[in-house]
Amino acid sequence: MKARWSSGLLLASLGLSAPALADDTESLESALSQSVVTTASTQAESASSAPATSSTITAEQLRIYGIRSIDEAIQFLALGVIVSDPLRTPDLGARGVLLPGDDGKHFLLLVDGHSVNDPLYGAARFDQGAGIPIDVIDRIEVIVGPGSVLYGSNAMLGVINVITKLEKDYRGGHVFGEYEWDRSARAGAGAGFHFDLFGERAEITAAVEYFRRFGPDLSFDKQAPVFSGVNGVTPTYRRGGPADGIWGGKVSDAYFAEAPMGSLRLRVADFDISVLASAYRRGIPYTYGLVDVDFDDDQSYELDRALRFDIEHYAAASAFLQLTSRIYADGFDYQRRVNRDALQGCFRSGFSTCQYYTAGRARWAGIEERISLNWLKDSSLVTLVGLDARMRWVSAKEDALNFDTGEPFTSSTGVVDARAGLLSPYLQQTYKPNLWLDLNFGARLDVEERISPIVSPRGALAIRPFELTTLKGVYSQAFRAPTWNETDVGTIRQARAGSLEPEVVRSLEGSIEQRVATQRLMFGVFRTWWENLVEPRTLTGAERGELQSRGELPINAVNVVQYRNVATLNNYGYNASWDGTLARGRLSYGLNATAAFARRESGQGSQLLPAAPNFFGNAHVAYVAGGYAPIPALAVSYMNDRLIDRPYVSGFRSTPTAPPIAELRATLSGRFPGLTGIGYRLSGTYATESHGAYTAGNIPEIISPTTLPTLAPVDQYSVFLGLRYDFATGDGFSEPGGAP
Amino acid sequence: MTLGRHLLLPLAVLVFGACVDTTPIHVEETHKDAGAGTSAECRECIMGEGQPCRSAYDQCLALPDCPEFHQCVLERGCYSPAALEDRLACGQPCIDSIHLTSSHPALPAILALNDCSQRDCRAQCITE
Amino acid sequence: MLALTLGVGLSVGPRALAQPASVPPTVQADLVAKLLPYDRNFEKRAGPIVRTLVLVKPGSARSRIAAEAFKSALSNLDRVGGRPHEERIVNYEGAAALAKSCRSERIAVVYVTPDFDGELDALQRALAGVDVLSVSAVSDYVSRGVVLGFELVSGKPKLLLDLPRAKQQHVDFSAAVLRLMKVYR
Repeated sequence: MKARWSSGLLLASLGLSAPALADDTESLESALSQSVVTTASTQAESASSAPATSSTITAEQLRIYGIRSIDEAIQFLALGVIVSDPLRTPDLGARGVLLPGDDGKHFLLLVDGHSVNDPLYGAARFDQGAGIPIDVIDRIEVIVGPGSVLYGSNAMLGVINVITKLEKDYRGGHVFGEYEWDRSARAGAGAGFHFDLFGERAEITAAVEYFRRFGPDLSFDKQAPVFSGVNGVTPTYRRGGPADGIWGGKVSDAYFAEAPMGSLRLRVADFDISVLASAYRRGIPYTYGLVDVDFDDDQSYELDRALRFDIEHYAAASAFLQLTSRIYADGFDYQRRVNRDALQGCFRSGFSTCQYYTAGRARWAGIEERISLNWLKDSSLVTLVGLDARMRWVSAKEDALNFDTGEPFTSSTGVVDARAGLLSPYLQQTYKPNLWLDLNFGARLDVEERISPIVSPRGALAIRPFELTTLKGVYSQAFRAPTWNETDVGTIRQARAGSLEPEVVRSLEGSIEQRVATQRLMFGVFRTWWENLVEPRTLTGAERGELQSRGELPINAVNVVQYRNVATLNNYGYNASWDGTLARGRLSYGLNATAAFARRESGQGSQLLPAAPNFFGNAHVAYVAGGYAPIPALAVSYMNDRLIDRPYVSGFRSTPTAPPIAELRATLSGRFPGLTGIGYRLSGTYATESHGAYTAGNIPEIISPTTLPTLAPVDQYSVFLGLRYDFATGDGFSEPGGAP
Repeated sequence: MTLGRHLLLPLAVLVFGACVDTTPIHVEETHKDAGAGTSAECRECIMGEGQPCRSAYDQCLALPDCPEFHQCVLERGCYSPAALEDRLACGQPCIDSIHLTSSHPALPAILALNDCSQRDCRAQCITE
Repeated sequence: MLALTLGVGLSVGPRALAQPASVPPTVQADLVAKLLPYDRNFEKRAGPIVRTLVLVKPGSARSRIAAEAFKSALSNLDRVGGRPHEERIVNYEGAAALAKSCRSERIAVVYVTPDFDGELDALQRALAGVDVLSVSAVSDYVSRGVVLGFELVSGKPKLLLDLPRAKQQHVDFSAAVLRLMKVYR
């Protein structure tokens, strides 16, 4: 069917004149401004047709807005997703739901479609720990909402797919270095080139990057001595420091990170082969939750390492049948060393410092086959049938060691040694009979021995009543399988949970998108229901006693948690966004906001979510004049006041909150005239508040109820300068607008 | 914090270093037995009339299993170690004998005796 | 299953790399339809009806898929270049035959699908002097014989233009549109 109303007719009917076009190419520019996404359905389609709410962050945006990591990109440029930084790995939330200390478990992180969340902890890192050299990122597709229909576990809040550059976009050699005053340094190199391999065209893109953080110094409000300590001995919180019972002060050694990483992508014939390797070592700047660490200890740290392989092959057997095959294998390990005064932390005498050493290892490998049936051969009616078969091996333990000698003083706890298979068939049916209708239905079944088989369905409808207007409705479900760390680990601080049900989220959303010339406006509403949320719950005395009588907990275990399916979440709200260009594309800008009502329902009644803002958003603007003119860019992120991360302590007169916070980043970038291939970027960041929403130090429960807890500081000011050199990049094409 | 404060870990070691070892370690916890039991000075300080820990001891006497537990730790000399974990290692057989858990009614009195012995009878009891 | 896909894949001869994601056919069709009027020779070339030939490489499934998708997308549009339009898929029978068809049937647009790597030189020679716009979604083909191409950069569609080739085929885009393109000189 061809007849559809034009947007001009709509505007006229609304009494609006067609936009005053200063340039008669606006219709063309509008067509060129739409984003093409692949993550939502594994097929390339315009974002307005995709069966999900999405935003795309481009490589150019990463460069001109001074972005250095995925979490910064999301914070300043993505729709519907919020980042909160506890000075460890950042917490990511979406649509009003953020779970402190989540380790990225409720987002699925993909790199070129390859899932990186590990099965032992479910973790995904979004800062430098993601292990992807930022120079080689082509775009980041951020899908908000459940995405298990094609990808399985963890895709509850959304799916973030980091897509790396092809050779044509990274041709030549590239070297760069950046220095952030008193804080960090980053350096990297990359190359892209093509060649003939056994008569077939082949291309390689490769990059390495090294990041190091060494500051700033952080100040934590000092907490007066609050309890008498073990054996009546006044606690000491700094190794070698005074036994004055005072926690807090300046952290100058414990806030550090090192992250080497590398990526290699080889494409030859119909094969796409990629390898990712990374490590991420970071300090533990303050005591939090179950982690009680000596203050400002540079010998306490966490370390991730990962090695990932992926080989994909595409074959078009006929116009009707296409096959995509993938073989993948990942290795991930995690280590954490937490040092603490032996008497206070381990109730031991005879040596001064004890160390809790946690080690975990996960390996997984699998095969995925995907068949695409193009019924009418014109891609309007396509059935996708897939099967992902995976095997996972995990092991973990926790040792308690004498820090000075390295010798264990008690047997290992938290021992896990397990393996399990996972079989996941899935199906997606798309139907695009004309220009104004897109239908997408699908479901995935995940079968593994640790949980009951679970189905994740999705149905989506996009209608375009006018050429530039899209109405979209989506229903989707996702789940997260409990990790081995939640079910099988038993230590003095955590009791084994045994079996847990998977978390499930159901989501219903609707949106309207209107394009007007080079402007795009979107308004959407959503409603989600979460069930069986897995959380650590502190055991009651009776529950502890029961486990102790069975020998599952030692007699001296106090403050023990156990992961349980304890809560449901109810969540609804809206997303709104506006982005566009003016001045023949030189001025680009965007603005988005999310407002949400989110409540957690559990045995304690209906509660606000800790550390989760219910209003947040970001805005950005940049001007690209072309040529050698510097490119000014400004990005702002905002979140409203929210509860601190451990607010529900009996005795507080009022529930403590963290104030609203805005973060601004101003960047100037460009190329030096007369110096071929040499570019720069200078960027400064300012945060309006000095503290965030994360409690630090002694747990609030043992502080006087009239004392507000100490909050972790925010790095308010920073500036960095970067230089880069690109060479041998020529392909004969000049850039649009004449940019060098 | 100055650049270069930490040793620069080579990329190869960080990324391709030896696999993390998750083999559990077993440590034989010796149930320390002081052999000679508890010294007279220590007993007097804990149980003597008008002595610092007498009130805690009286509370223990009034609770089921507590007198038996206390007699057991006295015989094993478990007031000698300074740190709680070492005392627990010594007193594990006593703990097992009365099935002591965190919800046992005798536990508060047992903990009070432990605290008192480490604080008010430190000089008389602690020898390690 | 893996052996089957490998077998199928390896049975096809040397060709361009499979693009992991390309500009969707609906977007390509939309861009072509909007772009044509900016060619100063379009009116003279097209006549009252805009005719498009979609080339299929015989024996290539990839080529057939792209051809069917683009033709379907173009067919769904009310107008192309502001005019009524026709499009049909033809099996490629040689550059000379194509050039002859372009002249005799007043073809305005020739759409080149994937797997034409070995034919580009011949196409380039045969279409020199022919009044026709050649288009492809294989970005490599621009600078190797095709006038206009599409590529995806960071998820955004981009236009590629071979300016010398455009002149040879009497394609003359206005400056206002050229600034939106990556131009090969």
